[in-house]
Amino acid sequence: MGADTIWGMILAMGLYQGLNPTMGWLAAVGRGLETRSGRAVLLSTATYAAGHYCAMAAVLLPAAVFVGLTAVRPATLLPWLGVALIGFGLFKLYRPAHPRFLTRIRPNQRVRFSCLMALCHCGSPLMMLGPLASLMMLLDMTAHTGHGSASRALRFALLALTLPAGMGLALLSAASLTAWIVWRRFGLTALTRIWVNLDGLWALVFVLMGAMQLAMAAAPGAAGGMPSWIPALRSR
Amino acid sequence: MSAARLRPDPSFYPSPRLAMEGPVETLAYVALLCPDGSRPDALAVIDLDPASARRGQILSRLDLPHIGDELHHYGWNACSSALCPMTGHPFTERRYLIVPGIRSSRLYIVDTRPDPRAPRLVQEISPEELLRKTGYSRPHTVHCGPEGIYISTLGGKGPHGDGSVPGIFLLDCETFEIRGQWEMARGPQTMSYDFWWNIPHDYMISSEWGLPPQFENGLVAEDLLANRYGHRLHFWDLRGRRHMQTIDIGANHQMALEVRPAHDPTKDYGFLGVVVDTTNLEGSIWTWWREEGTFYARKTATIAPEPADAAKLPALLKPFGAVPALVTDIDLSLDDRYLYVACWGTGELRQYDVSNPFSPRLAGSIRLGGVAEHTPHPSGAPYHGGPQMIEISRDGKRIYFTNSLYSTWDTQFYPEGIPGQMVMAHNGADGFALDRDFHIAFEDGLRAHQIRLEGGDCSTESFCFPSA
Repeated sequence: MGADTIWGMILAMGLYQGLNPTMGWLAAVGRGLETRSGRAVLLSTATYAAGHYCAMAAVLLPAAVFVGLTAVRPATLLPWLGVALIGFGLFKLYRPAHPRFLTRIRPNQRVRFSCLMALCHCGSPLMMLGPLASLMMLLDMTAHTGHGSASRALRFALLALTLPAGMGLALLSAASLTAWIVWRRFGLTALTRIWVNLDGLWALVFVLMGAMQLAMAAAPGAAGGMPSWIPALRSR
Repeated sequence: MSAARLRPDPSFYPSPRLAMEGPVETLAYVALLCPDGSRPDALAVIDLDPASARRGQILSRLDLPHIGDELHHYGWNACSSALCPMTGHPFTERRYLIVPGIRSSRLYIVDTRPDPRAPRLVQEISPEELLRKTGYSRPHTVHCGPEGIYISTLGGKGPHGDGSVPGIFLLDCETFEIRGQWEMARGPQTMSYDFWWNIPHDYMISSEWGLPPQFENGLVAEDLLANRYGHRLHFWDLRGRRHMQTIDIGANHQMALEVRPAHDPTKDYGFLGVVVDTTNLEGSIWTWWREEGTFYARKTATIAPEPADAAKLPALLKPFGAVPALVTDIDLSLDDRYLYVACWGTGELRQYDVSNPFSPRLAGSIRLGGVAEHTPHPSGAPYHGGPQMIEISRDGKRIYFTNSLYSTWDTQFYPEGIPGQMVMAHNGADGFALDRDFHIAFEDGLRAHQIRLEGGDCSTESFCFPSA
């Protein structure tokens, strides 16, 4: 998979998340109606995007630095990641409800809400570990720095901060645009019409992504030319 | 229990205005109680469909399996508050009625599907389980909010329910598991009754009636004259579950009952009905509001007692030679324009224009029943008791009400008994008046209490988006 495809997928996921009412635009419409201010609408979606970025960076950055500093090949992560994604997807199919503690977050704590929402309910950071691993593999192929070097860790860290920024910008654009259109044009009547339950679909996307990671890891010649997907063999 | 919906329930509305523009109600549920324990309490279904030939008739009755529950207030498992941005259960169905027995401390879960005209009992929560998991008894008001179903209680532990402090507990809105006490820090709160909130502004307000020994066997006159019933409002941090502020409205203002916040969440005010002022027998309406984070309350309307011949009065009132208004219920229309006030003693339903919440203006009045007056219904039928539990249609055009207050208190004020009745009034271009043809008399031995309208009403729905 080329870098373009991977980035395309990252942006698409960001757009999709931005269209989810719970990830910002719904609260932004509420703020807009209460304050009668377009600035409040955009500020609200921006705080949600900031929370989402925090959640992503909190997971991706340590993972990238760890891989960068050690001799671990990114491909090593794929099968484990596949299993984790499938597990998370199945869990969300079984229990689609939000974790209870999320309902105790105050309406004005938007950054905290969207950060914890992304971490504990949506699982976007987990999902984006796959694209991160793929991009790291591509970097390893193009730049021939030694494994476990500081410069490799630095490059991976930058990547781990850029990836969520790309996804976050896509999320922010989709959420802001939706909020603006609903607030300015359609009003609240649109809300119940366009709000569709995608919990099941989202859970299936996880299972599918997980299966994809497993397939990539298992395919001979794929995943950086590794013959087997057994991680113990490959990290030697 | 129920599967998640693909879209939000069509009976959930983001704002009060959209709820007003929704379809007209076609069914009502009415709590029926049997005061002498000769039969179980029941839930009646009433046809309200304007197009139906059976409008104003009883369609079915669900008899409960136990005796002596004393149905009082009840509510839905989910309502418009499910659309609030951070609530987390937008696809829960409005389907189950959560029906507490205020005397038995039992909770019933009643399913209104598949046929809303023939609801079914699907689950029971025993008084023992409630007490074990929450330390509370005598469940009362039910509201659906951010953390699921919130239920206030009037009693705590002990044989008389006064062994510990009453409060609010949480019930899961999908599995109906009891999650335990809601409060994390209750401050000086020792009594409980009604509660409601402003969800986006993150506060709750609760009121006080009295402890179980003060009401279960009847009104305790000595306690009333000594001002020992509730007279305080409590304001709470809703998400933090912490007590923030108490307002004592004065010990002479006995029984601070229903709290009705403005439905539009941008408005930081609401109302409170107070049963009686022990210095002059007046009933009163209070307006409470928030300013820069602090809550205030002020008496904004009073209702004078009416002198009456002592011979026509029950023993409790004879020494006074007058009938107090007894403000037992208030209800606010969804446009925050009209506040309806039940004067259960004098037999009057008042309509106040509260466009200016600090200066309610009496806009209309209906006389019906009453301790001394006994005003009959325009259909010619006698009306027992007085106007009591009020429910307003979402569009604000129809006002339904019943006549019983609480089994043992009914007998003290209306010794002749209060056979259950439900009537309807119209609020329209011709003003505020009773519907001559709408008069329901329930079966002998059953009294009528709270009314719930299918698809939500003015005392169930909480909104997170403004009407503007």
